[in-house]
Amino acid sequence: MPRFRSFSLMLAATLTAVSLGACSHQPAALPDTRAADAAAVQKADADWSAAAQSKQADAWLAYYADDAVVLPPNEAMATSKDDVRKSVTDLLALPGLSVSWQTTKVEAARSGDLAYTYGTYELTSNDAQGNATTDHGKYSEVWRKQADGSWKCIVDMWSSDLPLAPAPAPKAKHRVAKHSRRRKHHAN
Amino acid sequence: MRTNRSPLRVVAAGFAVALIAGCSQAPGPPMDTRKADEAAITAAGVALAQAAEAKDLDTCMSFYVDDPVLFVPGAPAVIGKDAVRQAFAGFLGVRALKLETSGLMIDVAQSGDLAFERGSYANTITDAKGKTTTETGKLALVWKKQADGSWKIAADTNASDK
Repeated sequence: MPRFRSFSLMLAATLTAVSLGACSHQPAALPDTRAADAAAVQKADADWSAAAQSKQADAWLAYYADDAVVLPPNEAMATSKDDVRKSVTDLLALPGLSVSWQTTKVEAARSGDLAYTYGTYELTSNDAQGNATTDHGKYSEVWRKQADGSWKCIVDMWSSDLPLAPAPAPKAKHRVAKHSRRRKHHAN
Repeated sequence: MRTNRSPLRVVAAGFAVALIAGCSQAPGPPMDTRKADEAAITAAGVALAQAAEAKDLDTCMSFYVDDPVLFVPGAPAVIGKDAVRQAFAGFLGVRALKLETSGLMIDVAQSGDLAFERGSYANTITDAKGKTTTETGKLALVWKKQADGSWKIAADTNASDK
């Protein structure tokens, strides 16, 4: 063990040790919250699907951030809060609606501010004759962590797996239903 | 006024300065690279569209991660690089292709490892018989930064307007 010639040198050695210790701990890396964030987003997505069973627009819309955009099939992108509400309200108004979805994949950024999910959905609604028709497809969502730590969806997109012609996606199906009704009137 | 020149105090003061200077130069939180990331993603998107218009399948696929997913309307999810390549080959197998995008917005995570892009597209396709049709829709892309710093698409998801 070195013998210090003076108190100054000993102090210097101590300070060096302290400063090295302090500096090596200084740039403390942010804690890695990716697993917890992914779990939180997956839970929010599952809660959202459960909330959709109420068919209440407000229950659905609670999962969107204020600046969320909705990219549904067969209609234009909804970027304003009013357009988003209208798009969701129209979807939930489909007769005999039942819709649910399951997350396939979820991943969060290292910084814990953004995450994404994708998965599959199943949607049943009645045609003009009251017969249940089922659509299924895939969706992708982008989520942003809010100031209170909760996660909200900022981009929501889905599209049907079914070929467009024989079994159109939900919205188109709605239009087909209307057409069928009109044809029925003609027959009468 | 008496100036204190005690060696002890000089050394202590010197180390205090060194400590502050040393620590302030130590790497702080990771640099915010979001602006540069956004520019890199925009450039990658343009290069991908150019490669598709040139029907250069290999270059197109170089913009996808090894395990990508592709969602197109009217077909089940396309999962994995081979399947995406096959779908892309079909997409490129037309007489001519013109790909346009508009209203693209990019969100990059602070950590610069993930980014999300969304916007509108207009694909004008001239088929084998010379018939030209334009399909418009919406796109949402998940981009992931690679070990070499490049950005690649992990999820390419689309929904047509009609």
